[in-house]
Amino acid sequence: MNVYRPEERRLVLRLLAYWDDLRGDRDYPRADDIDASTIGDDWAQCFLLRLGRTRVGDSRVLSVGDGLLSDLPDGVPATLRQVPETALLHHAAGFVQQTLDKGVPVSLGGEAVLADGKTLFRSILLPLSNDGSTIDHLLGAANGRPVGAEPALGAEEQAGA
Amino acid sequence: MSTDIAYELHSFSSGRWKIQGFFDDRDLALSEAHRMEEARRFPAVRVVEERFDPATGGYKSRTVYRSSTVDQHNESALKERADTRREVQATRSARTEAAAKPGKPESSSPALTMIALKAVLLFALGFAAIWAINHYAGA
Repeated sequence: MNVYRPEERRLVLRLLAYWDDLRGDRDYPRADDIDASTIGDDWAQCFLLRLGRTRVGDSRVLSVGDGLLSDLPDGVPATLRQVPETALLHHAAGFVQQTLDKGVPVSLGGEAVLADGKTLFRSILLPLSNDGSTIDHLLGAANGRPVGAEPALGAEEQAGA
Repeated sequence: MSTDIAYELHSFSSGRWKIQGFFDDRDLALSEAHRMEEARRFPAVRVVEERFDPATGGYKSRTVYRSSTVDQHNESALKERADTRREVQATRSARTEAAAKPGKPESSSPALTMIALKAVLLFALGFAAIWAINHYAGA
């Protein structure tokens, strides 16, 4: 598996380590510091948001990984508000405000009813800033498995942890 | 998703604790704390549990993990001191046992030899002094 820190089995901790290494001595890395090729296979579970100036729902969905597209039948929505509730992306990005309030990476998990049924998921939102202090973008990642299903090996293992 | 219990990861630098991450899972928070420790970017890290208290409507905080490079240094210094103490104790015990064994008092012989040598030397000096007095008095 081609991922950042392959020795770490949990997707959210691999992404968090990448974000932390990327920021170095800064509070936040810049959105254009993100390198999909360094993130590797985990990029399929990632999404990138540009925050709305006033409302979280107005945030632009800049990128959605292949692994999160399956429950977006109409393709990548333009804004967060347009993401259907039955999509994992909706739940993974459901705590944008909490991340902005805290100003640090936030990882939450839980159970969600998606198009395919009940799913146990784990997600993370990582703040990004172009000026070094105001959070203007968020890098997110999420994975999940149907409730009752055995955890798969690898990246899916930590869903619902 | 329930955040009745949440875990905040804090780092210590420039004399204050600063939040570095927020998790609803203890294992994730602790794993990230260990990773930060290994990175050695901060002198100390801790994980604080925030538990919702329905009685008060507020959150109760308690530190569930704390580690610092100072703690690690103190721990290794204590271990070194304990090792040294054990070595000294072992040497002392061995010496006491050897002294308690019956047989030739080998350990005291060098001291006796020194005393005997000093006595001979004193005697020789005295004898030489008397001889010199007699010699020069007669001369």
